[in-house]
Amino acid sequence: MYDYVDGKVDWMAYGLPVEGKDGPFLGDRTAESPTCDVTLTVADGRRAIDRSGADVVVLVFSGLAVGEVDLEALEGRADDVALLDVLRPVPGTVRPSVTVASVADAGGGQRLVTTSDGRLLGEATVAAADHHHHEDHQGHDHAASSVDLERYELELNEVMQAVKDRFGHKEPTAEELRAFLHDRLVDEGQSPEEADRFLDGLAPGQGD
Amino acid sequence: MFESVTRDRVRQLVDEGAQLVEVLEHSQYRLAHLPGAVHIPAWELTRTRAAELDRERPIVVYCFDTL
Repeated sequence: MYDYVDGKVDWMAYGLPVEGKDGPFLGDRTAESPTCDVTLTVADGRRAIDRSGADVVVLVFSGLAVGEVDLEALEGRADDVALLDVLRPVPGTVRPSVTVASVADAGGGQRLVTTSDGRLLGEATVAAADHHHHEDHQGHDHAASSVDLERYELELNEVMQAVKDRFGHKEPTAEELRAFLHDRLVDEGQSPEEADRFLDGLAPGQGD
Repeated sequence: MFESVTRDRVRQLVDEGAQLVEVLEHSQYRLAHLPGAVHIPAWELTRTRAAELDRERPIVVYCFDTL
């Protein structure tokens, strides 16, 4: 038996794939960003910018993002000046496990995406439209919840049969019925809190 | 009984056929889990649920993080 003590957070922060219904994640939107080795010179930096067609190149050392430089920063500098002397520190980076929606909520923009140990994965651009996408995504989640509800209602018919089996002709009190349903949902894999929320949603007069 | 392993070792174990087990609650598993991971909440780690796993293959259990 093995214990992956750093867990899911570590896995996702390193940009490794996951399954499930959350997301999309920034890692899904990450494109390769133009880079230049930080140990090279201003002349190399200019060539890297020209080659990429971008305004900025990310300076890397052994795959780690250490800074960035643009044409303006290189202007007037001698060709043999080390890029190390003209770089500006790399702006805040984000992990690939961050959801696109959360970046959109924070104002969007272009973000450098690195693993938890600083390895550059690329850059991701999150537009204002992604906020709408986020809302759409929530809409899908809402639709999924409705589907879940229908499924539970169908299952409820089975449960009511089980209630008859359990209580016979004696009509259970609301408390007894809720406790029975709660235990059943928990047995099926719901957490006690999820079971409570679901049962709250079934209460008369709620969810209208 | 448990051997602590790193991310790279987990990947190696998975390549060798290990089974991944997420022990978080259902909602967490549903949102995102490691590829192929099965879900057995910590409070259900009973002999019965453990019997669902293949004892001939390595088993890697994981939670959310180190806390």
